[in-house]
Amino acid sequence: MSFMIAQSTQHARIWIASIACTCRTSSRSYQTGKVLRMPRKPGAETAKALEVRQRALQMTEAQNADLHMRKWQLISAVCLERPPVVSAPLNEMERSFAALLDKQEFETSWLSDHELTKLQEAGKAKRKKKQQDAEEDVAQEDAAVKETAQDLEDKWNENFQKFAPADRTTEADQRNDVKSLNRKLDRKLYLVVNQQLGDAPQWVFPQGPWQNGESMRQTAERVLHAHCGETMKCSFLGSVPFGFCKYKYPVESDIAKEFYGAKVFFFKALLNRNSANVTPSEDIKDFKWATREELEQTVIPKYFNRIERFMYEFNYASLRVNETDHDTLFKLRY
Amino acid sequence: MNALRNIFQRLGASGLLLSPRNCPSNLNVATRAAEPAGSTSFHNAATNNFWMTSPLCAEPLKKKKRIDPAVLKAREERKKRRLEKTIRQLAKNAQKLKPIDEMVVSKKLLQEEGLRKRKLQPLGEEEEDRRALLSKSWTRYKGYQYLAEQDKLTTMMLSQQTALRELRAESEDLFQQAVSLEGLSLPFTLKGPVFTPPKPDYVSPDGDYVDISRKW
Repeated sequence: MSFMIAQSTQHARIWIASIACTCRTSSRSYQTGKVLRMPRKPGAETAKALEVRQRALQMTEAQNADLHMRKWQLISAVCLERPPVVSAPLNEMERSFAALLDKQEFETSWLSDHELTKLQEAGKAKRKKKQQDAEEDVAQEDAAVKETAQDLEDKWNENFQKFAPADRTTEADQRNDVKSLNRKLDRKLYLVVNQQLGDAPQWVFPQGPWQNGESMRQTAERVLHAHCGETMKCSFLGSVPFGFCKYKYPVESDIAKEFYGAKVFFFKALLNRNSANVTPSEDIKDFKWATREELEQTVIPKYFNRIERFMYEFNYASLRVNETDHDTLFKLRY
Repeated sequence: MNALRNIFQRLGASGLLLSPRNCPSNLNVATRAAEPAGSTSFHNAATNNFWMTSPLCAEPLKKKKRIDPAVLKAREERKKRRLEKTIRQLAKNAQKLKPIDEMVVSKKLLQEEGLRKRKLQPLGEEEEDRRALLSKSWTRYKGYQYLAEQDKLTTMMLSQQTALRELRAESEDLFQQAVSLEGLSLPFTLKGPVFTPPKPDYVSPDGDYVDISRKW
C-alpha cells in the first residue's frame, strides 16, 4: 500500500513553489484550462523554471489536449494531535490573580475545627505554664495527654512528605527527544513527518491519495495507519475536513500527465492516552512530535499558513503580561 | 354396629346414659346406668357396655358483654382522629424537600460565629487599590482572551467551509459522505489535563469505601 502511495505522489518535487496562494484564482484557471504557470515577478524566473516552461511549450498539440482533461488528485492528510497531559503553567497575570483569590478566600473563611482546637490547646498550654510556675507539683494529672492538634499536623506532614508526585518535565524534555510522546506534557503536540513526495522528502502531516470507493475520512485513517503503524490508537474528530491546501505538480513529472495537481484535505485526530508511538513506513524518513512553534520552524511557511488556520491553540503560559502592564494584553490577539 | 348405635341413641335420649362430660373429649364413652345385677359400677361394667357418643361440634356461647354505646362512639372517634393525624403528617412531609447538606449551615457553627471569625488586620488603602486594579486588568485579560478565541474559531470555521467547498467542487458524493453524521463518535470525552503527570508504577493504597450519605 505504501508503495502505491509512493508511486502516485512521485514527481511532486517542486510542489512547495506552487502551493496555490488563493484557491479561487487557481480553480478558475483550471476550469478554463489555462495551466501555464507564470512567475510572480518579471525577471524572477530561474533557469530551471525557464527550462520547464520551454519544455512545456514544446509539447505537441495532442499532449496539450490531454493536459486539459486532467483532474486534481485528491489527498487526505491527518493532523494527529497528542492532547496535553498536564495543565499549562500560569503566566504572571494568572499567578497574581490566583494569589489574590487565595488570599480573599482565606480572609473570608472561618476557623475550621482543627484550627479551633489548635488555638484552644495553645491557650490551655499557656495557662498551664502560668499555673506550673505558681505551684510546681499540681499539674501532673494531664501527663497522659491525647494527641494534640500540632501532633496531628506533624503526622500529616510526615505522611505527605512520603509521597513525591511525578515530575512535570520528563527525561525526554531533558534529552530534547522530539520523537518521544512523553515530551512537553503541558503542550499540544502535532505529528509531523518527513514524507517522500515526488523526488524529495518534505515535512508535512502524514498524507496519501484517495482511492476509489473510499470516503475522504477513510482515506485519512488508512493513510495514517499505513505510514505510522497499525498499532496507533486515535480518534478522528468527525468526517468533515478541517482544512485545505492545494499545489500543482511540475509539468515535466510523470504524474502531471494524469493529474493537474493535488488537493489536500486535512482531518484532525486525537491520539489516545495508551497508544503506541509511530512506527514509520519506508516513505517516512523521519518524524517529530512538535509543538506549534516547532511546527512553524519545521514546515515551509506557506504550508504552515494553511495548517495554522485550524490549529486551536493559545500558548497563554508564554505570554508576558503582568498586572500593571495593560497594553501588552493586546498580544493575545495574534 | 349401626343397630347398636341406634339402640344407644334411643337410650341416651331417654336420659339413661351417663353424661359424656367426664370422658375424654372426642372419644366420648358412655355406660348404661341401669344394668343387670353385679355390673352397676363403672369399673366392673362389661366391655360391650362402652360406646361412642355422637361428636359435639359446638360450645355454648359466652355471655355477651354489654358496652356503653357512648364509649364505643368515643373509641371510634379516637381511631378516626389518629388516622387523620397520620395523614396530615404524611401530607406535611411530602412538601418538605430533601436537604442539601452543603447549603445548610449547622446551628452549632452559627453559634460559634464569634469564636470562628478570623481576627485579621484591616487592609490598607494601598492594598485595596492594588486589588481593585488587579481585578480590572484581570477582566481585561479575560476579555481579550475571549476575543482571541472567538477570532480563532471564526478562522477555523472559514477554513472548514473552504475545504468543504473544494471537496464539493471535486465530487458531490465525497461531500455528502463528509457531511453525513455517520462515524461521528459522540458523546466525546477527554480526560485531563492534570497538574502532575500520572506515575506509571504507582499503586494506590487500599481502603474501605464507606458510604455515609443519608437515605431519604
